[in-house]
Amino acid sequence: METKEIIYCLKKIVKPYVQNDLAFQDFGKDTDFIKDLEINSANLVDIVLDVEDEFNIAIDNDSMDKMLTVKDAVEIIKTKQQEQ
Amino acid sequence: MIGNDVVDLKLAERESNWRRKGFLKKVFSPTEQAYITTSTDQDRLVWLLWSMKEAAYKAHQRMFDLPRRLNWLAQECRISNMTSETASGTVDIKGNIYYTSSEIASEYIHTSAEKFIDSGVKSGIFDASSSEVKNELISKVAKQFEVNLIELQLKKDELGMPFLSRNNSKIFDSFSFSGHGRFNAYSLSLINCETAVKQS
Repeated sequence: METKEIIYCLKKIVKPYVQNDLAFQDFGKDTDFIKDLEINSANLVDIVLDVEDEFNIAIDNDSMDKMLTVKDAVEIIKTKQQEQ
Repeated sequence: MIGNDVVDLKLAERESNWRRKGFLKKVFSPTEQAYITTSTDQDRLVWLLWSMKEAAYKAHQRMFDLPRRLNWLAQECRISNMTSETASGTVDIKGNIYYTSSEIASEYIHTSAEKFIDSGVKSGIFDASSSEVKNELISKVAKQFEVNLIELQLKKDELGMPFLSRNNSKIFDSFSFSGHGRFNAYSLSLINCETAVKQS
């Protein structure tokens, strides 16, 4: 999957949890889920689960640990897809 | 080293469905899941353990200057005592033990976590804006250390952790803020801090 395509999917996944709509308008590689979008931490669990469902991958704890930005998520998704 | 976390229970109920498939497994160890599944008030247990983890991780971040991580399973909670209104326990983060005390109310749960036991933790939970709560904490610290309120500035370090500064130097960081929904809270620990402030 292309990076652009992954980011497009992520944007859809993240949308319902966003608290800062202004920052969401600039959604891109460098967007930070907590600092920029102000997503509450319990919803980060939902995002991890939604990403697993959408991309049909399993995100282990070590990978989840570092999933703080869109770029981090893209890398994790790509790595997991390649492993399959 | 202190951390705190508040959960607005009504908002949590609206925002989060912890019963969805996979949620508990991502966040709670088998022991912690057993606390939840054997409880008569499962929602309360979920958010109690959640706030213990978040509060303890904040204290841990302070202790070791760490960035935010999504690693709830790295924090193992133990509840040593629980009543209908309070809970106390420990959170183990890679061998570092943090002592927690929680207030359980009908509309919120608030937890403070401290590295050192008996460090005089004081908390305030308010149905008020975060700026009001921040001002409340600053005035409390100013009073305690007998410094002029306007001399204290609230700042954040590179990792986003707050501290109080006076004459451009850091004088106090044994406090933590948390906000969720209607509620904003602070915790602070005043023991062993007085000398540091007076000398600065």
